[in-house]
Order: sequence, then structure tokens, then C-alpha cells
Amino acid sequence: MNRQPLLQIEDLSIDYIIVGGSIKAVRNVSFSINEGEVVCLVGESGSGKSTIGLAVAGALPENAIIRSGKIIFQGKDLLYEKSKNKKIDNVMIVFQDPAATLNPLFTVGEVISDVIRSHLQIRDKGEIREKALEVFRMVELPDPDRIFNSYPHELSGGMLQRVVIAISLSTNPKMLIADEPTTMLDVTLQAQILDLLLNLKKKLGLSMLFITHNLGVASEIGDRIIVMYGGEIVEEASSKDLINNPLHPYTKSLMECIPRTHIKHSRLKHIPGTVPDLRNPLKGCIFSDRCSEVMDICRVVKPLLKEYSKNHKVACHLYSEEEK
Amino acid sequence: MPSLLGGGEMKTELMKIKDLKKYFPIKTGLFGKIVGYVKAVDHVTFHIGLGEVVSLVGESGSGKTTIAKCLLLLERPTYGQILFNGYDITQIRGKRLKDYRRNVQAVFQNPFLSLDPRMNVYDIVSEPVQYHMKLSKKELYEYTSRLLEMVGLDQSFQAKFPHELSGGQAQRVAIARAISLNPKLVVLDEPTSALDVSIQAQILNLLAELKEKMNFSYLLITHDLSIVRYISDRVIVIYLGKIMEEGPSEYIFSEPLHPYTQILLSSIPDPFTQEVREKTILRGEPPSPVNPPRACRFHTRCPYVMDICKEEDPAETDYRAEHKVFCWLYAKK
Repeated sequence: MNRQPLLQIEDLSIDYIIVGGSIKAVRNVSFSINEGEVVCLVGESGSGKSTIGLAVAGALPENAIIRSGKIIFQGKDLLYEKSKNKKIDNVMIVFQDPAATLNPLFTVGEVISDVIRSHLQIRDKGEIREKALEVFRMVELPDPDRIFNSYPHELSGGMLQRVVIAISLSTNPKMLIADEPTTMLDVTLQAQILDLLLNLKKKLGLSMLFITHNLGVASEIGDRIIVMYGGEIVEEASSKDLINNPLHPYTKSLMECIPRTHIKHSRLKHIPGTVPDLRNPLKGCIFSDRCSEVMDICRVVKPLLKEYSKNHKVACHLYSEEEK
Repeated sequence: MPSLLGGGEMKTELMKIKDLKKYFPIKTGLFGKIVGYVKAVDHVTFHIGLGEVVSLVGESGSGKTTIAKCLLLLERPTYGQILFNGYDITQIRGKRLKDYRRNVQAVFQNPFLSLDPRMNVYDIVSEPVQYHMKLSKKELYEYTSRLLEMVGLDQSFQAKFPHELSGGQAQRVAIARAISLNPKLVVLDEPTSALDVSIQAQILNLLAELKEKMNFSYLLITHDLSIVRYISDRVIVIYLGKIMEEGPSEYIFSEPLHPYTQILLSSIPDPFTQEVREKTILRGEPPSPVNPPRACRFHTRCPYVMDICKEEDPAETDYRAEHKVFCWLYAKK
């Protein structure tokens, strides 16, 4: 066992309160991220992946309630710290739509100066500007001086996403949470941003929690991939292992859904049915009503996330029986 | 491509787009003085065969949606002809126009924006039928139910409103409405971009199935090359309003010619080819279509740029039958 992981999430459950009930968006999720590691959370809409990202960043909406669990970052419980109103400088978050993240009434420079001033306690204007230009150069933005004085509408989507990444890096964070940062971008720009994030990881030793619905993107950037479905982790493995040897029926069918460019398909596989209603999650396995290999036990007993082989965990009865 | 007409014969042309141009004026000041043009589509020529699936692929700003809007008569082309069954649709009026609208339908990216939130599913799907065909109430009901069945929605959906549907179900309703008049051409503008992968696969399968049954032509507009391979016969790659490469989809994917096509293909994150794939990352942003680069539009970002690329527009080179490329690398000298 090596050092303590940078981020450790233990038994996290989060509900959203809605009219007439609650949505159990995340249920009993545990995982950890080591220093300098990129972990991808992969899942469809409604799988709870973004909720976890928001919880770690301490940015959950008001109707969210954390039912149980701990989020331990560098040995401190973030949920406890937050209740004490302490600022969390070491975790920053990047969202999907950069244009919605930035206030259109302020120049990019004003926004980043504000962040640097409040987080790094720098007062001198020149110094703040220096720091801003430094991070702009770090994210390979051309002509940082011009960009410092630009409004968001003057920049293109790819540039804006770089600006948002620069703003999150300006506080020298240990960890970056990236919530679908490339989904809004074209494939060529997506490749650029992924390349940038990988470089930053190498250069700064940045850890990342990368949230995406695209397994292709996840395999490109992630050291480890966690597959989520209906608010639970169904499988967790190193990227290579997961792609080459997927275990959970959901992961398998998710991979079969991806149209592949080098093969002509006659017909794509798809997963019948729709995502589960999380107001009343299924008693047994959350995937049992759409699973093609469903057994009787799946509808009654919830499978636990168990180690199948080294660094490869799966929550499925198909594999727990093999052990017996 | 095996054709019903037998070997070698040309497929019947359904639609021909000739030298299409669409410039949007940029106006300033109180009097709307025109200071320039956004050259969204610049001299684009292609055709769509009967029962053929043609894909227009390009990044944002490439003009692919503008071309679709011109075909749907949502925009008037600045120049050029769009021939359908031999007559130019930009000139037609009255009965012919009505006939054209019936024959060319569209499915857009976000079904929740394209469906009227105050109409239920039955009304949404039966509205065009009611307008174009004179059916009795009972016939209309049967016709509409059959349409909904074809897209995989049962009776219980008829009374629902769009907000009660999931993304995939709403897109099915949009498809049902688009095919309700048995059109010749369905324009699909990013039909699956707003959907999850498992739902995307459902919708793509449905579209392929419907095509087999009803023999529509599709014009698929997308930035996602991976879905293109699955569904299309022919692919057209555009960049800044100009066609870069056009060819049968097998060749575009197995042997892409234009450097831009090659880069586009290598940028798709594909989990299955992670280790073997050579990745070329395109630097910089696409130039503005207000002031596109002279000569070859791609020369500012092309890794194989030569002197001639900056001076002269590359002519069309027929690399093989039906496979055209606009690039100096392949020009016969």
C-alpha cells in the first residue's frame, strides 16, 4: 500500500429534493484518486456522474442533500470544512459550456484577476496581471495580452474553454474536475483540449476527475475509468483493462453501441429500454431490467462492487458466482 | 455498390445542387451599411441520388447547416440552382412549392425545440397529414397510429406532450412527423447529437430500418464521423463553405485523400484503436468565413502546404470513379 490517495470518496449518497419526493441521484459510491492520476467517470445522462463532480467541488445546487458519506481530500473531510465556510483552493472545476461559465459583462482579464485576488491574496495589479498571463501561456493561448482584455463573445469556443481552464489553474490547484469539457467542441478542437489537459497533467502533476459520456474520450485521457449507471458504480478498472476486457453487461453493451469508423456495421447494437427512474430505484441490480444476461438473483439482491482481478472491480452477480 | 438497375448504370438523380452560394451580409450602423459578407457556402455542387444516403461532414462554421437550410427553403441562396425533379426550387411557387415541401422533410438536432410544447404527440404527427391529404377522422387516426408504430411508439404515447417524453422518444416523434407524408428526401441535421450513445444507436437503427422499408434519400448533416460510416453511401467533407473531398463512404474511411479528412478521422476518440491510431492534432482555430484564406481554404492549417496552395484554388481531381478531391497534392500536372 503506498501513500494515502489525494481524494477519497466513501459511501457517498446524494438526493435531489423535488416536488412530491426525492431523486436518489447517487447511492453508496466509493472511489479514490491518487496524486497525478486521471480518473474518468463515464455514464449516460442521469447516471449521477456530474452530481459527484459538483459534490467534490462543493457546488451542489440547493435542493441537493448529502445523505451519507465522506469526501476526504488530502486528509481533510471537505463536507465538514465546507460547513465551517472554509475556502477550498485546491479543487477547481471546469464545465461543459465555457460561454455559460463566464460572465458576458466582464472581460476575461477581470474575471481571472478576481479569482487570483481572492484565492492567492495578491493585491498588486501588475502582479495579478503577470500571474494571469502566465497561466494563459500555460494553456497555450495565442496572444495572451489581447485575450486578457477581451470579452467572452470575442473569443471562439475552443479559446473560451482554454480560458476557463486557465482560470481554474490560476489558483495552483492540486485537482481539476472537468465536467464534459469537450462535449460542446468540434472533434479537432476536442483533440486539442485533450492534448492540452494531458500535457498539464504531465507538467504540473495535476490530478483530474474527468466526467464524460464518451468512452472514446475516456480511454484517451484516463488512467482509470469508472463506469456509472443509475447513480451507482458498476465497474472500475484501468483504461486498458476496461476497453479490452469489459466485464459488466452494461459496459459491454455500452461499447457495442459505439459506431466504429473502421468497420462497416450492418446494424448497431442498442440497449433496450430507458434509464431507470431514480425516484424509486430498483431493489436488486439497478441494471437488471435492461440486462440481457439477467438472472433471478439480480432482481432481488443488489450486487456489491467486488475485486475481480487486480485493479478491476465489478458489481455483477455473474462474477460473484464464479468465485464460489 | 449493388444497384437495382444493374451494374454500371447511374442511379436516378433526385436532387442536384449546382454552384450554390450563400453570403450573409454584415451590416453596421444606423443605416445598415453592408461592410462585408460571411461566405457561409461558396460554390458548392453535389447531387443526391434516389434512395441514397449522403452525408455532409464538417466542423461548426463549415456551412453544412446553411446548405440544409437552403434545401429546405429556410434560406434563399445568394446564387446557384437547386434542382429537384428537374425544376429549380428557388423559383417555384404555388402547387409545385407545396408539392416540394411535402417531398422534402427534416429532422433537427433538438427535438424539444422542434416540437410544439402545447401540442400532444397525436396532433404533432397528424398535422401535416391533415394538411396535405384529405382523410376522414377515422382514416387519419389509423394512419397516425401506424406512423407512430413504425417509429416504435405504442398507443399510450398519443396523448402525451413533448415534456413527458425522453430525448429518444421525442426524436422518434420528430421522425414520425418527418416521414408522415412519405417524402422523397429527409434532411437529418445532427439527429443524434443531443442523445446518449445507447439511445443514439436506437435512433440510427430506426433511421436505417425506415430507409430500407420506404426507400427515402437522406441528407445527413453531422460533425460526428463515426455515425456517418454506419449509415451513409456517400460522404462530402466541407471546410469553410467549400467541398474538400467527396466519395463513397468506404473509400473516405479506408483511404481518405484530403489532409483535412485525414485529420478529422484521426481526431475521433475511438476506444478500440487507441494504440494503433496515429494522431494528428490540428493547431489553431478555423479561420473566419468573413475573410477566408485565399486559394485553398485549408492552406493555413494544412501540414502538407505547398506554395501553389496559397496562390491558386485547387481544381477538382477525380481520383477514382465518384471519388473527388480538391487538393493540389493530387492534381495531375
